[in-house]
Amino acid sequence: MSYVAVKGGIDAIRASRSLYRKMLAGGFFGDEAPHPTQLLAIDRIMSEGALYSQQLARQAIDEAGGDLLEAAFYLRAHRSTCRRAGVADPIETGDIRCMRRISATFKDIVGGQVLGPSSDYLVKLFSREQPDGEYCPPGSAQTPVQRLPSALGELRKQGMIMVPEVYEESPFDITRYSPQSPYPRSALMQMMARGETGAMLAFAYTSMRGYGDVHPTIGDLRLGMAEVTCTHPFTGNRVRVGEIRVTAVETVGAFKKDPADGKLRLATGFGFCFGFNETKAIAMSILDLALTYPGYSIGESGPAASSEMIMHHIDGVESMGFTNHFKLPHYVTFQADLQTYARAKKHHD
Amino acid sequence: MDTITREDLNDLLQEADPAAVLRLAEQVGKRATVRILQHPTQETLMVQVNDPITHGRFYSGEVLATSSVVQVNGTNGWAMVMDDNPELSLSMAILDGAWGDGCRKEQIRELALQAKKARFLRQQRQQAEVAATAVKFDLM
Repeated sequence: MSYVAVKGGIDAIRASRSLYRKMLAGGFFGDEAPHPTQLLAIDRIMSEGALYSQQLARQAIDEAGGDLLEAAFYLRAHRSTCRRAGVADPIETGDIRCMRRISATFKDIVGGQVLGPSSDYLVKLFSREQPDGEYCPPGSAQTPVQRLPSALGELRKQGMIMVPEVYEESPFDITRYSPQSPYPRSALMQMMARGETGAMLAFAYTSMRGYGDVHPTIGDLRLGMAEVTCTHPFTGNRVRVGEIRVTAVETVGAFKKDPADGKLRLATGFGFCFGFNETKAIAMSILDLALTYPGYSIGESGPAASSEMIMHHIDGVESMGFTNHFKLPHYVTFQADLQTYARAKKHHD
Repeated sequence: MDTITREDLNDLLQEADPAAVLRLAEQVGKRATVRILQHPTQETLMVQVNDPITHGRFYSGEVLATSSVVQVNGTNGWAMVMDDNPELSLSMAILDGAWGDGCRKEQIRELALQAKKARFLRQQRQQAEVAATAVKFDLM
């Protein structure tokens, strides 16, 4: 592992910080994000609640007093009361209208490194002072940023990236069926896309520390707007329903022998979630690497490489519900425990 | 820029002035026979994502939408708008049906065009602000 020192980019960094503040003040998205001061909390629970609704997410945060686990529960519960109209056309990450796109694999990439609105460059200290007013006027832009190809596209074209073989005619839907082991890749990806950010971060972190060997490079991280489209029921033509904020990440792991032809290729992982949530998407891509290539884990048994572990322990609503159910009256079962304890004590003591 | 299709309405009218959309739908209601076949209903659309690693697909979650179905002079009209927005959904379904029927088509087109222009300007401004954060680091 190594890093390369770079310099420059002061103007871009200032513009990035400024744009981040502007985004949270409501000046960047306008009506696209009606509750800007809660933008990232709204994004987080829409992803964990698996329901994209900015209005209801805002309401859920209010109802839950700011408890995001509880707020995600509101969304998940509401989702279950709604009829499903159908399935939207697939989102292609290359079609995302990018607001931010960076790569740690290559310095020079098609479309460039675009910092976008980011808190990466903020000093995390409270300040009574007003923001310094730094801002790069729009006129200083070099090229418009819109749809950008993946920064890993060239490696793919050259056949340097492994394509794991997956046989699934259509994606598994964990909201309709309970998946059985061995879990289809699409079921695991769906579970992770709606997983709880903290849980996913913790499991991904195990793989980086003592229980695995995934230490990837971010190949392509992008935040932006993705179109939701379906078919007009009366004309039969494609129609756009709207746009949603999303985060997508491709990470590059180590190289491995490709079982398809025995050649050495790079392994990659993918993370995707509703809203702007880089930490979750990066954690998901690390877990994807660990799950798809368990050999990265020490003894192939690290927690992040266990599909059972990930499938059953990252859902915030489920784990919060199970944990909190211990508050419910357990008078009868506890009486039984006490009786067992009394007998054991009699024999033991 | 000036081309508007019927499919554009569902997209663009969500970004038009809501009061103007409601007003125009009311005007259609006064001129034409409007039957509501499906009152505004909250529905979800499952979002699927193309997986660049395996070239497969997976589901990432659902989008909440409000959809309505009407008939305007016997022509079906439909709208599916983002989030919980019953009034806008019903008004847009009426305008979709009116477009199919040829009723008030020019005014509907004008409203959609205004929204299209406003979106173009908004996205242009966003793109410029984002492009100002493009960076070219130098290796040390």
